[in-house]
Amino acid sequence: MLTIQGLSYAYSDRFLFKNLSFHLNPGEVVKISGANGSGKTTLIKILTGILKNYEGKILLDESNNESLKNLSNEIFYMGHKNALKENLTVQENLQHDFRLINSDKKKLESYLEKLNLKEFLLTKISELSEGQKRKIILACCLASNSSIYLLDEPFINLDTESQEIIMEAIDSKILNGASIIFTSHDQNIKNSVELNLNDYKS
Amino acid sequence: MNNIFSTVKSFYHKLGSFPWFYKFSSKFIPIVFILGFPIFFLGIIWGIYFSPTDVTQGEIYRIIYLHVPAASVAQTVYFAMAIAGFVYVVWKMKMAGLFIYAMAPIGASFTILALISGAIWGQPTWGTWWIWDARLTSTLVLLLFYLVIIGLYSSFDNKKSADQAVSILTMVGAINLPIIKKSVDWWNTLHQPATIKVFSESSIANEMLYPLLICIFSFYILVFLFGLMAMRAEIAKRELNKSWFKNLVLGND
Amino acid sequence: MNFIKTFFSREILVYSKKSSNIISPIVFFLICITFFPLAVSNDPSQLSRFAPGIIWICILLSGMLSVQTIFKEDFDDGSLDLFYAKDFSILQIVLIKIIVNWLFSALPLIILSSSMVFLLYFPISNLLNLLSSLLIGTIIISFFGALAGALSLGKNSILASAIMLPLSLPVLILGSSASTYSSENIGFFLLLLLSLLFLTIPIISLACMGAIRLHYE
Repeated sequence: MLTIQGLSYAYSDRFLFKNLSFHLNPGEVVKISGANGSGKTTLIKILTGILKNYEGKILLDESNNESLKNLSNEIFYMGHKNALKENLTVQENLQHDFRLINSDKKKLESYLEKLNLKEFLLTKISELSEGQKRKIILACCLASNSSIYLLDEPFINLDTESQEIIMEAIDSKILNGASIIFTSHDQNIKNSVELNLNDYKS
Repeated sequence: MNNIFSTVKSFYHKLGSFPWFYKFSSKFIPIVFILGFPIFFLGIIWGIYFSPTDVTQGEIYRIIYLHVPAASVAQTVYFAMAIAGFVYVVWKMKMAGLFIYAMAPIGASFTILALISGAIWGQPTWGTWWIWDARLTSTLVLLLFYLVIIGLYSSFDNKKSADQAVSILTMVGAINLPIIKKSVDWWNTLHQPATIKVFSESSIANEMLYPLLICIFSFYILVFLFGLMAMRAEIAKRELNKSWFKNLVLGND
Repeated sequence: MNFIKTFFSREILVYSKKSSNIISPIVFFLICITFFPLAVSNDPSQLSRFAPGIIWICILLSGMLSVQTIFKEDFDDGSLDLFYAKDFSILQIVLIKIIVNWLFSALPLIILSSSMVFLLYFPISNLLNLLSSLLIGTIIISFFGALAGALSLGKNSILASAIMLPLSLPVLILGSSASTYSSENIGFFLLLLLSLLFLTIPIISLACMGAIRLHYE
């Protein structure tokens, strides 16, 4: 459903990666790996549509869509930064979070429960730990009905118990036909295809 | 007709290319240099030694041969930068961004020259170094805009972002400057019913006018020269590691 | 429509939860106002002559504090990334942010400046002129400040002030003139301010969009 052909991106006249091509089917997982500064975050941002001045083609369903913009509700983007407002409570953040536009409120509740976040609903984000903040976004991710997930370092700062819950949920999402592109240094999702950006240096 | 259009278009595309510009401008520089300085000295010497003394102001008026060209250049350079900013924002022409970067310090220097020469001229003629007149105020603000542009540029590491930011600011400033000038005018007419008329409408004698026009003309040529040199220096800085530049410098081309 | 409503309430919530957003401009404004008579003169006739200028300068400087950080938080915490990813209208976001920022930082100052009738012996007959010119002028200043903040995202805040203040100069001149002259000229200056406002809104909103975008090159 997602085809990338000859994608290159230059920052200040230096190519981060060149001639990157891959294909993603529904239910497939791609793990983007590579050394620090190899452009993992940049690649995610390009696929999301945040960065525009790339060369090459990003196609959806082999049609002529230049970017994924037309389907922005079908894409769940989880950035390197959490995009949570520090001086608002968890609940207030979730009420105004645009990542939840296409998602299931009941599922969100149940994941917040499972990840031990329910009791923090009225706590300010600034009082939470980094791992807890990450878990809030992951709960949103799991509750989303999108078909493509672009996750930048999703499992950073997580404890093993939450990791297990999340991995399980992600596996069932994949079985339901969701495709995932994620970056990570150590963690892995079952059956993922690895894409090493070190191979695409100029 | 079609032919002219395609020539202009191909020239525009060539102008946008660093290697072409670098090579092309190297032929220009000696000509401009040989042309610019003699005309400049002709105008200045004519103005200082051979033009008549002003009846009311005496010898001090001769600073006009520095002041008026500098003030004229200061404004024109900003106007040109604003046009370049528009070109950069609309067509993303790299050369336009480079032009703004190269011209800003030059424009700022001429603005300072205009302000200082104006103050030196003003002290004996109207008895004060400075008045809050529309022209003076807007020139001072022009200097502020130049400095802000230089400051904004230096705060970016990424040249592309810097060019874009400075282009936007230059354009907004260009819209703002006439508004500032006009509003100082309105404000002035209310505050102090014109006691000092800075630039009287009296016509200037031909013997004074010709050297002045020559000076103005030579200043534009010199700015063109300085601009070319600054742009070439910046191209060299940006393209230092490119193969065309290495080939050119090492003489393999 | 739904997006506008959600975003608006989000902004209101963020501003209202951070009380320093409202209080620091007010404190700064009052300090500035207090210092002028102490530094310049406490003579009522002189002060009432300088009052419009003093009020305008203080408003401009305290506006500078809040306005330039208008996009900073969303840029730093990654919310702007999300808006681009979701393909929201950046124009709407810019306008809403400027409006909310104006409501929280400029509106209290405008209300507060009516008390300058007592502190600076501001002639009460000119009060309406002052308030109406402030009402229009602060909106224009907010737009310039937003542009300055957007251009200097991730840079130091002195740069943002250096961009914003020269741009705001016409507003300062027209606004203080409008509040100085009570009788016949007030309509003229208010009309000029109003036309400046209508000129500013489209141009600066577009420039703001471009300025935010350039940080994603």
